Parts: sequence; C-alpha cells; structure tokens
Amino acid sequence: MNKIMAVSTGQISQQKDRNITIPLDSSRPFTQVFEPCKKNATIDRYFSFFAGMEADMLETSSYRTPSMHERGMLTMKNRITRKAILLGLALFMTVSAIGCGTQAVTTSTGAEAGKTEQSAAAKTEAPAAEKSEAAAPKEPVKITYPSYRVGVQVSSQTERTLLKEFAEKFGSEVEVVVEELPSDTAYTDKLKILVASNELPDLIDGKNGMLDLAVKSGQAVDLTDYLNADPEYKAEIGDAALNANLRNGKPYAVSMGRQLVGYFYNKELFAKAGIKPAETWDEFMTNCEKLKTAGIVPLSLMTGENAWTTNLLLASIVGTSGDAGNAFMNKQFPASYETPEMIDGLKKIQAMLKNYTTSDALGGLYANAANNFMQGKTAMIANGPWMTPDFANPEKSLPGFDKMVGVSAYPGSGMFNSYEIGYIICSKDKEHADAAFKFLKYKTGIHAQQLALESDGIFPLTDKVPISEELKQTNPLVAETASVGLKAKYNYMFFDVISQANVIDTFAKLYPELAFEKITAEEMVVKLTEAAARNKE
Amino acid sequence: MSTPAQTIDRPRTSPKKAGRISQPGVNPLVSMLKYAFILVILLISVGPFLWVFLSSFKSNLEILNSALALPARLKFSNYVMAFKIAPLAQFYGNSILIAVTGTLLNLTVLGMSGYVIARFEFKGKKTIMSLVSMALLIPGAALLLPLYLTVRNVGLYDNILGLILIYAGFGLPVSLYILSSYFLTIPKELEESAYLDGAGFLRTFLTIILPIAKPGFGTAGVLQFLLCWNEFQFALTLTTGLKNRTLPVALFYFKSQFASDYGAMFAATILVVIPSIIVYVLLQEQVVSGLAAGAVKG
Amino acid sequence: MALNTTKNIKWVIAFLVPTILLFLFMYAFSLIILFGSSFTDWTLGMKVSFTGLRNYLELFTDNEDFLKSVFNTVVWIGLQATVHVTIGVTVALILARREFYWKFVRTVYMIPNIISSAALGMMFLCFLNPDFGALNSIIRLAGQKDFSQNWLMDYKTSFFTVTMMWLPFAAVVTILVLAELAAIPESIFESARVDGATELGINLHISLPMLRNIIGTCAILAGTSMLQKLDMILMTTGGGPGNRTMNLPIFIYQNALKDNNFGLANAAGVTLILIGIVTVWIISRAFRMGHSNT
Repeated sequence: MNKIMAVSTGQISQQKDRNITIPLDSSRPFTQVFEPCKKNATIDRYFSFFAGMEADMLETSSYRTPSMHERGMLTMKNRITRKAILLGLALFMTVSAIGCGTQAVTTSTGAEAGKTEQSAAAKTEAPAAEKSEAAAPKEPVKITYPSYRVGVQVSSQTERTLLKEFAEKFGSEVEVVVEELPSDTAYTDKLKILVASNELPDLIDGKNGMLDLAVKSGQAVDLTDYLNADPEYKAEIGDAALNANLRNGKPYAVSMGRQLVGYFYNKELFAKAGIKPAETWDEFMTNCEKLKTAGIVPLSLMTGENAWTTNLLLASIVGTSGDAGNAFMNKQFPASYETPEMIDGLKKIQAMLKNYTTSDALGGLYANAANNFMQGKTAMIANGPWMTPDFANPEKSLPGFDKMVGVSAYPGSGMFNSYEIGYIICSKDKEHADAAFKFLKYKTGIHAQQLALESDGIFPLTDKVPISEELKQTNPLVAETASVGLKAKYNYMFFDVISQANVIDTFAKLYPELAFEKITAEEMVVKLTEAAARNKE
Repeated sequence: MSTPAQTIDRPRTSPKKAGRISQPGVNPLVSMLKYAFILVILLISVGPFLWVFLSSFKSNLEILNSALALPARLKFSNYVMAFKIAPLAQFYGNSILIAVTGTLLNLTVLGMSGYVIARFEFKGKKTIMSLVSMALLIPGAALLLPLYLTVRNVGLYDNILGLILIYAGFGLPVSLYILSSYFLTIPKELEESAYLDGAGFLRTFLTIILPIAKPGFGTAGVLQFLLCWNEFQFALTLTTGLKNRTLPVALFYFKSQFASDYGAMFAATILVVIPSIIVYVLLQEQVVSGLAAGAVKG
Repeated sequence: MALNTTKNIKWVIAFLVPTILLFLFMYAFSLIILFGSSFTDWTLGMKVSFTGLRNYLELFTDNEDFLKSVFNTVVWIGLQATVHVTIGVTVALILARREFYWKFVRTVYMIPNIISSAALGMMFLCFLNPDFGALNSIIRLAGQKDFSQNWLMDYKTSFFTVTMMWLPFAAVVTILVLAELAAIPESIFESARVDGATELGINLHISLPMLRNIIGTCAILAGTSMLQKLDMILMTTGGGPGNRTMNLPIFIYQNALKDNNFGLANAAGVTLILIGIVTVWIISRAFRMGHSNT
C-alpha cells in the first residue's frame, strides 16, 4: 500500500486487459452482449458523445497541415484515446451485461443460462409490451409527472385535490404517475440529470430555467397546435399569459397562475413609529430610519436560497424608476445588468442590508424572514398573498396577527404582475403528449385557477375567474392585493422570471459581499452580467 | 495475555477482566485536563442535538422567542404533523432494508478482498489499491449522471436493488481500508499453524480469521450502515416512487420554499436521527464483544 | 513474508473478483466520462464539442472562485488529517483505559457522525442562528445583552465556524483506533507497567507506534473526506459570504447543476482527484503504510 498512487496507464490497461475477455477490434460483441438487455438507446448516446469528441479531435488535427512529427504525435494520441475509449466502453458493457445477468438471476433463480437470458429479455421487453397494450382503449395511458408541491410546500393541498379529481374524472384514460421531489433544489437537480440523459418526464414545471433547457435540448413539445385545436381552453389561459413566456416565438409552456405581489406591513408598528406606507423610495428610506429610531427593525430581508424578499425590493426599485427601468424589469434575460437603475437599486439595498434589517438576514432563509415578520419583530416583508393563511395560523403568527397586517403597493406605485412560467410537455410520442395535454388542461383550466385563488392566493390568468365576495370575507388581504394591484402605475416581473437561474444564485452569493462592503454596487452589476453571459446560446 | 491468575498476582491492576485502569498516583493536573477535555467533547457533541430535541416539543412561537427555555408542556403535535407531512413510516421500512442489505453486501465483498490484499503478494495488487483509493476521491456531483445512466442501463432504476449496489460501492474504499488494515494486525502465525494442521484456504479464512476480525467488521459495518442510512442525493436521483425512497429524502419534505414551521422540521429531524443512534448503540455492542475477543487473542 | 500466493491462486482471484466487479460497476464508466468530458465544452442542452485544455486554462487563469475553492479544500484537508485525527486518537487513548465513563462518551461522541450531514447542517444552521439560535442565546444569558453575531455569514467568523462543524467530531477515528488498541496484547502493557512506565509513556512509546497503520488510514479517510464535503456547507453558508467558505465539491456542484456547465465542473473534478492522489501519497509516505507491524 505504500506508493499507493503509482498509477500508470500501462498498469491500468494491463489490469483491465486481464479482466476483460471481449475482443476490442470488432463491434459485434457489443451488440451480442447487449441484445438481451435491449437498452441500447443510452449507450448509443454515449457512443455518439465520444464519437463526436473523436471527430472533433480529428478535425482539429487536420485543421492545419501538421508537420510529420506533429502528425505522428496526433495520430498516436488519437490511437491511444480511441483505444482507451473502446476499452472503457467494453468495460462498461461487460458491467452492464453482468448487471443484466444479476437481474435475471434475481427474477428466476436457478434457471439455466439460456433461460436466464431469455427471461432477462422478456423482462426488459415488458415495458414495450405494456405500451402496445396501452393503445387499446381500455388501458389508461401512463404519464410521468414530477412534483415539488409536496410536504410543507404552500400549494401541496391544492395539488393533491387536483390530482385526486383528475384521477376520478379521467382515470380510465390517463394515469398520472407522480414522482415526489421535495424542495425546489431536489426538483431542479433531478430534472437536470434527466435533461442530460434526454429522459424528461411527460409534464414538468418550467421554473428555475427548466423551460429553456427543455426547449434547447429539443425535448419540449410545441403547444401551438394543441391550443389552436381547443379555442375555449386557449381563452381560459388568455393571450397575455401565453405570450409572456414564448421561446423562439412558440408557446412551449402554459402558465398556471398570475402573481400579484406588493408588500405586507405591520399596522401597529407603523403606528408606533408614526408612519404610513411610503409613496416614494426616499420616503421609504426615511420611514425605515424612523422605525429604527423607534426601536423597531424595519425589514424582513434574507439573502439565502434565492434571496427572495430582498430581490423583490430590488426589482421594485428598478421597476418603478421610470420607463427604462420598468422596461428592464419586463424583458427576459437581460444581456447586461450594468444600468444606472440597477446600480441605484443595489445601493439602496446595500443600505437596507446594513442598517434596516435583522441580524439573521445575511444567509438567512425565507423561514427566518417570514418568522421575524409574523412574530412582530419586523415591520415589513415583501411577499405575495400565498403567505396570508399563515397570518391567521396561531402556530406561526402572533395571536390576532392577521388583523394587524396591511398590504401596499411599492413606493412609486409599483406592483409585481408576473405570470408563472407554467407546465411543459416533454413526451416522446404523440400518445403520451395527448395524455399529458389532457392533464395540463385540467391543471391550468378555469377550475384549477379558481382553486389556486381560493386556497393559495394565486391570481387567475384572466378575468373569467372573478374574485368572489366570499373570498373578500374569508381572506381580505388577497382581495385587497387585487384592488391595490389594479391601481398600480407600474407593473413588472420577478427576477426569478427575467433572469437565468444562475444569475439568481449569483444575487444570493453577492448580497453578503455587498452588505460587508467587499464589493460596490457598480462591481456587483458587472458580476451579474458575467453570470448571465455564462448561459451560452 | 492477562489471565485471571496473573491479575490476582498483581494487586495494582484492576481485578476486572478488561482491566486497563489508570494507576494510582497519576498527576492530578493531567487528570484534570483529561476530564476537562472529555467534558468539552461531550458538550459539543450532544449540545446541538439536545437543543433540537428539546425544541421539537415546542411550538414555533416558543422556539423563536425563548430559545433556551424548556418546553412549556411536552407537545407531541409536531411529531404527529411530521408523520402527516411526509410518508415517514414507509421510508423507515425502505431505509432499514437498504441499509442492512447494503452493509452485508459491502462487508462480504470487501471482507474477502481485504483479506487477500492484506495477506498475499500478487501482481496488480498496487493497481487495485490505487484504483480503489481513487474511488474515494471522485466528487459525488460528478458521479451523479454516469451512475444514473449505468443504473438505468442495467434495469435497476427505481429499484431498491440498485440503491443497495450503489451504496455497497460507495463504501468500497473505506471498508477495504479498514478491513485490510485490520487483517494486517492479525499475526500470521495463526494461519500458518492452521495450514500446518491441514486446514484449507477457505476453512482458515472462515474459522480462524473471521472470528478474530470481528472488531474490524464491526467498525466497517457501522460506517457502512451510516452511509447507507444517511445518503440523500442518489436516493432521490435513482428512484422515482415512494416505495423505494429512503428516510433522508423525508427531511426535504419540511424544507420547501415558503415553509416556516421549525417545530415539525425539528421533529422530523429527530425521527430520522433516532433510529440511527439506536442502531449504532446496538451494533456497537457487537464491536465491544469484538474488542473483548481481540483482547484475548494476544 | 506473505503467505504462499501461487498455492492459493484460485482463491485469491475468487476473493478479488466481487470487489473488482463492484468497482467497475460503480466507477469505471464514471471515471471515463469524468476525464473525457473535462476536455470538452459540455453545457446542458447543447452539443458537446472537444476543446482540449480550455476548461483547465479557464479554471487556473481567471477563476477566482476556483482558486479559492482549491485553497480552502487544501487547508481543510490539512486540518482534518492533523488536528482532527489528533483529537480522535487522544480521545481513544483516554477511553482505552476504560474508566467508568468510557462507553457513554464513546456513544455520545459518535452522535454528530451518526446524523446525516443534511440533518446536521440543518441543526447547525438553527443552532447558530444569530437571532433565536442557542449559541447566541447562551452568550446573551451570560451577560452580553445585545449579542447577535452572525457566525456563518460574517467574514470574520465564517471560515472558523464552518471548520468547527466537523473538525472536533472525530469519533470515527476514535472507534477505529479503539478497535485496534484492543488488538494489542495486554501483556505488552503489563510488562511496561512492571518496568515502571507511566501511562503517558506507555501511550507515547508503545501504543502510538503500534497504531501507525490505523492512524495513517484515519488520516487518509479524514483528509479525503474533505473532498466530499458538500451537504454541510450547502445547507449552511452555500460557500459564502462571497467565496469565503467555498470548496471544490461546492464549486463542482454549482457549475454542474446551477450553471449547467458539466465540462468545466468535470475539469474541476479531475483537479480534485489529483489533489486527493497527492494527499493519499503524502500521508501513506508519512506513515509508511502497508507494512505489517509484526
């Protein structure tokens, strides 16, 4: 074990040669090995991955005429690489073959070799057989649908209801196989692995950059024909929502809701400091100072996760700063963040992070910010109406807290009005795409919009779903948000919608640096631009 | 070897059979330092855990406003909530099945090769060790995609068997290190005399070596078990249905965006952690009996 | 020295095959992908193209985060292979005397290592919360009324705080060493005591040299565990503030699964493996590992 690391390629290949019995010079054994497995798709992909690499290498080598010496080196290098790659693939395939073997053994213990192979083949063919059966009218089509709306996620209850209703109504035609992926991180991490292996589920949520990945990798289904074939449903979604998230001019995603977001404030604390919701950002800052003087922490900010409450304020400062700033906050994927509005906004945020927020804001989570507000420790939080049920929950908020809270538009009369990106169909064939569309329709139609409004405070896509008198009674803050939203002069979208996912992470990463004055607002916008540029087109 | 007879002869050592007790007349300052050190170790080890444990019986309000106070009354609703929010019961079953089988598989495979590597000289031994060491160094994020493809190709995607194999493989370098270095401490004379008595390779391994190597297996087993029990990322990536998910996945049911209830989250954490502590305490007794066996052999 | 290999060659091979198969199943394909793609431009949703050393050039010439990650990773490996192992061995030597508390301490000390790193990260995050966390509450109770240190996100304390989340918890080292100590024949200690050696002397001159192999193993395991430290940092600081607590696994995770840049991430992965190889080499040299004690 001394010289543990005396790794030389010679040694490795020697070792490998000894264990591998498949001849490398012919491609036949590969197929032979794989026939019982019948899972060539991925292998092909990897094969082509390497083949592509090789082709590129050859290209570079013939790009300019190399000297004899160079050429010798290059071909030798190529030979070595090719040998290594073939060796590697052979290794992998042996392993896979062994895997098939083990699988077969577990399904039919004690079977003789030939039989074992057969049973392996039979088992792997089973899904195919299932598929053709599914074409028969009686078998429901199975579609896969990953969901992060589980556990303590705010809309998990609505999700359960919709799934149950759909199963009752259309269960004989479409069976939705749900994969629960708790938390946003788990959701996007797993979907990215599935993007890379070209195996996205039938219906996914396009948030956190998934829409672009699904479109770029060619897995998203263009929904134009589906929508045109069903004008009634198309009207339920509305042109505004459909046009908000086009890619290459085509609708790939159908939104499930509209977010109207202002900010909540604690009326009692405001009264104590003798202030009312600010009309301008200067007044907002003065109010913060007054609250601070009164011994009250003004703002619930957080910079962990996606820096949600902090980014809402920044977006509002930019979005209400005039036409240029408002246009910036309404257009997706800005190439540059180096605008005067952004710099000015970040300077204000810097002041807020330094003076007007809690000690746990830096690196804090949404939970920290929300709890601070609901415990009456801070006077304001920027967040949407989905938070309102928590105000009345004695487990989470001060007693009678829902009566203390008011909602306001941002200074300069601004309000978020942002369509959720929505659901994307990524089915491989028409049969599944049709089934997925059926589910998508149920998940985004009028009934679902109504449910989302009533239980989660997510606003409907069009005015086909009215805000009922009853809702005004049960949850006045939601109704109030709607009326405040109508009056607002400026509307704009979330950074989570206009920026790529990695830019959001960059925000979260840079805010502490900004608060500790390790970077200036001017330097921060440059870094944001750099992050945006890392998303290659 | 300290037989009872010898112990009686020498009254200065403890009459206990394990008797490795400090002598009288040890420098009191050294003793003080020693106890202080142990006390600090104890405090930092159990402090955060105890705090979370106590907090799991509090309401969210109590947690936020009086961090150090004892719960006003023991509140079990957090635990009830935890079971409601995540499919904990099912995940328990899966975790136990996967961790136990994964550990057994790992120990069997690595016990065999660990022994051979510790005892025999052969060509390629260094290569094997180098490659295995390398496995210890591969970043998990880089393994995610290739392993997903591998597992999918052999038809073990969304299959408990796939997770078991993967976990046995994750523990490969650590178990191999531990087991082979434990085998190295066993005097060769034992095997040599067994061979002289006419025992074959397999019998020597099974009847002479394995019983002595119990402490090694105990420690490697504990580490492997914890690895299987606690792994999250691959459990999520390599399975789809609830029927194959493991307990750490449950923790994330309490961590969604826009969630703010610490009580249920703490309760879930405790529920995930407690079984592994119990299993450790139980397995540890195996290690202890192994320790005693080891003490006798000299 | 070794037992007769040729005589038992069949058994030797038979005993090695399962391990080799398991290794190939897990790592062969992964390693090929890792090395191969580190020379490509491989961004999620885009075509893969060969770019030679460009990823490496980009990492080493103008990527502050990467260089900081390498630096932090190396520092943490160093601390873990020395301080961490020393703490673990010290506890083991104390517990080996089997005074009344030894079983209790051994169990309790293990708790932070039993808990999954995601859960542990969550615990520390709450425990260290500047506002309602227990640590600051204790300090406030002790008299500092307005104490609200943000341990994890303050530039002054973040690196130290993150380090303390794993550095003192060396129970794995302790149980490994304890198992090995039990294997040392009692007679050796007996005769040393008869010769009038102190406990400290016995520890220094008898136990430690005999523990050389296992301590080396511990140093390798502890050191290289820093190459996998992801969950704890991700759950607490996410590498921040800035890149103050970033390490290579975080860097790789962010580049692969946030920036979708698998090529660059895998180039960093190859660097990580190289750092690991050097670590293992240095440690196994330092401990002259692999030689039997007898």
